[in-house]
Parts: sequence; structure tokens; C-alpha cells
Amino acid sequence: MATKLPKVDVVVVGVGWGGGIIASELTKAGLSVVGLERGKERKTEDYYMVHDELRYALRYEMFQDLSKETITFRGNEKIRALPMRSYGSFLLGDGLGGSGVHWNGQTFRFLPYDFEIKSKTIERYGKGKIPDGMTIQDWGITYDQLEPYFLKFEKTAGISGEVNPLGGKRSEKYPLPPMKISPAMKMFSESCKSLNYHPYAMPSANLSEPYTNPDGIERAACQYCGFCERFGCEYGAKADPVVTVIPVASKTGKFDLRTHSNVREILHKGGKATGVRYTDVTTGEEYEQPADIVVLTSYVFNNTRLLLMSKLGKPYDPTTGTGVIGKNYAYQVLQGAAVGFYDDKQFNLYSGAGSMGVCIDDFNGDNFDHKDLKFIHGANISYTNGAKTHTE
Amino acid sequence: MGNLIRPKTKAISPATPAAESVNYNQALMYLTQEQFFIVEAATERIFPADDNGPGAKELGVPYFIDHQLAGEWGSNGREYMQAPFYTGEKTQGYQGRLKRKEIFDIALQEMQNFSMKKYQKKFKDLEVEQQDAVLKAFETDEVKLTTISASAFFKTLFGSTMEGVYADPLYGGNNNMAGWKMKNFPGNQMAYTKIIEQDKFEKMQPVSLREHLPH
Repeated sequence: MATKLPKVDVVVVGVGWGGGIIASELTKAGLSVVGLERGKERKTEDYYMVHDELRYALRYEMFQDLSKETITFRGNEKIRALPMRSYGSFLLGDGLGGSGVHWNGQTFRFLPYDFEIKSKTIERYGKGKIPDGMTIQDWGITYDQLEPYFLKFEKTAGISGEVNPLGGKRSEKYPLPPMKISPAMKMFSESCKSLNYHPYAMPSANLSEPYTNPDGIERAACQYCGFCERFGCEYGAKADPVVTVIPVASKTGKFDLRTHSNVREILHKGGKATGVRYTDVTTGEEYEQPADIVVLTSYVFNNTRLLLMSKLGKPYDPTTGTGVIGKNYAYQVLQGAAVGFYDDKQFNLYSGAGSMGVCIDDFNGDNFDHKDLKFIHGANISYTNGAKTHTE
Repeated sequence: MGNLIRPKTKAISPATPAAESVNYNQALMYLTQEQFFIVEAATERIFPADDNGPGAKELGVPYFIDHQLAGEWGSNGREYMQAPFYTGEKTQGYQGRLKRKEIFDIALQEMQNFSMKKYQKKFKDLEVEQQDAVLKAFETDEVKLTTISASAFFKTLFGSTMEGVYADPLYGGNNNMAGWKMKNFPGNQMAYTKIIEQDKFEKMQPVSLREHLPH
């Protein structure tokens, strides 16, 4: 029998970037928020021994322990779904701060085209450009509507960058100048310019300078140690929820963070969520946490699973195209890597940061003509001085 | 009782300077001696000593692999190892029942069998060209095994050899950071702000994680 806890205004399922931002903003607005995180607590002091590629990069220290819980997956509905036994392509976050702790900090804005991909594609190329079965759609919100929030996040996290010459309109510059420019970045940048492309410094959540954000959070500058993706930052220089939004929420006295709390079910009545049922994984005890607002911020897999298991919302049916729960999963991919070798140059590539780089958007979004191409959209092309960066 | 009596080992040379410390880490946690000698010979072929510096054996890679097999990695401790077991698509990754250490048990026995059958000698006693031929036969699945994939085992062995060469020396490989020194990799420095923008390659004495604890 689950213990029923007193009702709160908001319960947040999963305390990473999404949950942390919601907790911070809503507690500042005076609401009481409970944060349920299935993993353990994390702090900057945990990372004295973080410069360990074997433990963190190759043995997946910071990710979900798959022996306890995993997902099943398949390429299409004709294949039998099988458990993901070990890590391959996608890395599932776990613990306070979630994937936001072990990211590279590459903090791009979406392009205006991305928000209205369907209508803008049809507008420029006609209906025939979108083949049958391609399920793309407009987001329902536009870049201009989201712009103030992009900026707010950039100020909260302390993004170092320079304006993307082919990106959406910005109301302000980045709060911090770009990170340092390495010789290899300079070469990439100069080559791009000689080809008439538009290079710009990659927007980075690693601070180029010491920074105090609008919430009064002070953080130190990046030391270019080279351990970013799959690692926590021992300086707090890389923005993550633990060093930015979570302390702001905690300081209000309105945020009740419970780690080791695995949400199993969304409680609902008449199609409206009324709270969650969760297990304290250290004791096995079950609790019910009623709330006026239930926020799912536990990554798309867990959010979808919770909705399906709780029978809330309409599951996506691929044969009829109806329903939304579980529709259109997308993951970032980085493909087509190129490597240069030089007989007469040696680079200090052991140093760097995961989002210390230069990139171009000349072949991204609809920044080039797709009339005679059999695809839409494109990709950002970048050089990063990421050192021990592992990209999947 | 005979098994309990310590086999005669090479006496420590009196010429050894007293200051030279003994590496107590160099003993076995999982592998048998016979298995260990196979791993030692095989990893030395994958990462041989040459003009650049030491090979896998001198770097401690065989101990690294033994210790890894004895721990979480060898038991797939953070991987999902419960039923249901079905043969999956290639894109669905490993779907077997065996743990890494069990795969090593089988594969090392198969390497020994293959060597005995083809050359009438144990793997460790083969000429290096013959050892290479055995490894190649596993790498290319020329060896047909029923319980495990020979090529997948080779891939794991190759990967763990590289890990043993380049992982922090705390794990028993990369002895004296010699793996890093060969590549001019500075290991675990705290900051590169001074050199990040400079053109000239900066060679520095590597530092390991040991420096991050007060001793």
C-alpha cells in the first residue's frame, strides 16, 4: 500500500535540464515543487577523479545502469523488439542533472526553418517535395515566439559564442564572448572563408570567462582540460543543471528534491494528471505524490513509457498515423567525419573543450537550394577541439 | 598438500636496488595461469614492443585485462543480462547470455585448442608469425565456434588491449604512463589555458590520477 503524501503545486519527474529549469522558474514564482529523480545526487566535488577515460567514457559511469532498467528497441514494427543490453548509439542519462551533466555543451538555437519545416518546404518547393510517409510537421510555435526563451536560457547557462551569420534573428548577443581559438580552429575557419562560407564560433555552455548569471549564480571559466562529453566538469565551468538552476530552486525553500525516487505511474482522473506513484529505490517503499501540475522531464523514452503504462493520452498508431504518444522519435547524429594528417604540423589536441569549435550553417536547414536534391534540410558542419570527446 | 606449496620462483636478484618498489598489483584476480599466458602472448602481438617503446606485456596490459575481467566489466555488471534471449538483428547489439569473463574462458580455450591442433604447441610457445595466424583466424571468423563469435572476441581482446595501454595506470596497465609517453599524451592535467592557442606543440611530463589524492 502506497503512502499518500501531502499535495503540492507541482511534481517534476526527472531532474535534469528540463526538470531543473521548471523547478527553478516555478519556485521563483512562488509555487511548491517536488522533484523526483530516480538516480543519485551529484555535485562538482564528485569530479576530482573525473579525468578517467576508462571509467567515464568507455564504461559509461554517468549513464543509466542498464542492469537495473533498460529499454527495448527495434528498427521497425516487423522486427522483434529486444532489450538494449549494452550501450551502442544512444546514451541514457541518470542521476541529478541527468544528461545535462555529461554533455558537451554545444548550445545551438534551432533555425527558424526548423519550426515550420513542413509549411516552409511546401512554400518553396511545392507539395511534391515531401514524400508519402514522411511524418514531418510544423512545431506549432515559431522561432520568433521562442527567441526570448532561447536568450533567457543562454543567460542562465552563460553561453559563450558569436552570432551565427545564417541563423535566426537575435535580440541580443551571447552573454559571453566565444571560447579561445586554437590553431586548428583557425585553419578550419580560414578554409571556410576562402570557400565563401560563413564560419562562426560554436555556441558553448563552457564559460569563456568567469560569469554571474541573472539568478546570481557565479561560476569559473573553462580551463580547456578536454574532458567534457561523458564527464562531469570539476570546475563547474560547463553549465549543467546542478551548477545553475537546481541551486536557484533550492534557495527558494520551495523545492523538495527527492533522489532515488523512481516514478512508476502517473495518476489521473478524467484525462487529467493528479499526481504520481513512485518507489524509493533504496527501501522499495511506494509513495503517492498528488500535485496540481505533473511535469514529465525524464527524457522522451521514459516520458513516453510512463504515459503508455499509465494509459494517459492517445498512443501513436503508425498504421493510421493517429495519436501522439511515442510519435517521431529523433536523436542527434554526427556523421561523415573527416580527418586531416599533416607531415609538418603537430597540434595540442589533448587540450580543448567539447563545444570549443568552429562551424558553418551554409548546408544546414534550408540555407541552400534543395530544388534538385532528393532530401530536405541538411547539417551543421563543424570542427571541434573536443580532445577526449566521444560522439555517437 | 602439494598444491599448497609455493612453486619455486626466481630469486630476487641481490643487485636489485632496495629503492625499487615491488608492484603488488601484478597478480591474478580471475584468469588461471594458463589463460594469463595466452592473454600475455596475444596482447603482445596486438601491441608489440618496438622502436617506439614497450609492448603490451611490459605495459602491464595482461594484468589490466585480468583485473577488468574480475570486476564489473567482466561480469557485465552494468548491462542488462536477463531473459528473454532471442537472436537479434545486427543493429540490436549483443543479445547473448554469456558474460565477458565466460566468453574469455571459452575463447582462450579455443585459442589453445586451435594452436595445439594446427601447430602441436600451446599458443604462448608458438612463433610470433604463428601467433599472428591464430589471431587472424579468430579476427576473420575462420575459426568456426558454436558458442561464441570468434571475431567478436577478437574485437573485445583488441579493445581491451588498447584500454590497457592507454587507461590511467591506476588500472594496472599503462605502466609508468609509458603508453601515454609514446604518444606525447600528457594524461591528467588540470588546465591548458596557457597552451590552447599556441601553434607550437607542447610536450609535457604526463600526470596520472594518483596526483589528485593526497598521499
